[in-house]
Amino acid sequence: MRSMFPPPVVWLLAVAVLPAAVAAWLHPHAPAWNREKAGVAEVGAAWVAERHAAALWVDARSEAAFRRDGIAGAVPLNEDKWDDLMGGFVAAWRPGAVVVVYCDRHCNSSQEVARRLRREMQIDNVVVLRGGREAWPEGAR
Amino acid sequence: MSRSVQFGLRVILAGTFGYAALAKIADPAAFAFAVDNFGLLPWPLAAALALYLPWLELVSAVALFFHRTRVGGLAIVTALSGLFALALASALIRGLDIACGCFGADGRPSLAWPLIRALLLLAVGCWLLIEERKQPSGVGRATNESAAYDGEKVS
Repeated sequence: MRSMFPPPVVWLLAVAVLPAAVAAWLHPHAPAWNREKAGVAEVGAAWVAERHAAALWVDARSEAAFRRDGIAGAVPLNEDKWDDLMGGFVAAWRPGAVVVVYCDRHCNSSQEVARRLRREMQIDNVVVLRGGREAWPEGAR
Repeated sequence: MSRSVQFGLRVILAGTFGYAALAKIADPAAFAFAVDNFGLLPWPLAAALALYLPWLELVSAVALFFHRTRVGGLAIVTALSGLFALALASALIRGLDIACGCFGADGRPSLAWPLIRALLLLAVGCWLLIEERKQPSGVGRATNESAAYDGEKVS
């Protein structure tokens, strides 16, 4: 006798499509379909702590903020003085190093700098520190 | 193997996949970046997978507790464990310094433990599928249903 229902695997695969489609439409953190619009991945301080020895910190804030409480070992690089500060970044960068860009807790400059590093310097291994400078404890490095 | 052991293993599978699913469902954009880091898929596919895969994991985890869907759920979580193991092994071989993304965006950078975990889940899934095949209402029946659905003669 011909069964009315497809095999369980098929309809389990199909059932998952509906909530996924709704998530694509309504989820506040749904990924953008365009890689450039999607921005740069954000990582938590714990993720960086596991590999900070191999990371290059980039401070995307103003130079005054960098001098005040920049993370030790970080290099300043912001859009206002991109060309002036690029030399310092290039001198510090090593192929294969994870580049971790940060700004303050509520800012967008780290995303802008990270995107620009990807686009103009062709550096793929760039991430943004979630929570900004405040997320990295004082004296952690 | 006793039914209680089988049930316990299904609970472990369902708990692992259900927890992983909920962590990823909370932030699919972050999971898309984790998928993208593996360098195996173009971005649009990574984004689509990040939206679909967590829900498939959740649906399959729930299906493990229902008689009619148990084998289907088992087949999917076993196949996913195999795919995860392949992806993780590929990343390890290529020397990628990335987080697994198995339980959301963050996580320990080491890929070795997630690979071992995926292989263990694969082994458990395969074992449970073999046990289901031994039972008259298990895989054999599902296969016959599948054949019947395809219009084949089932003896």
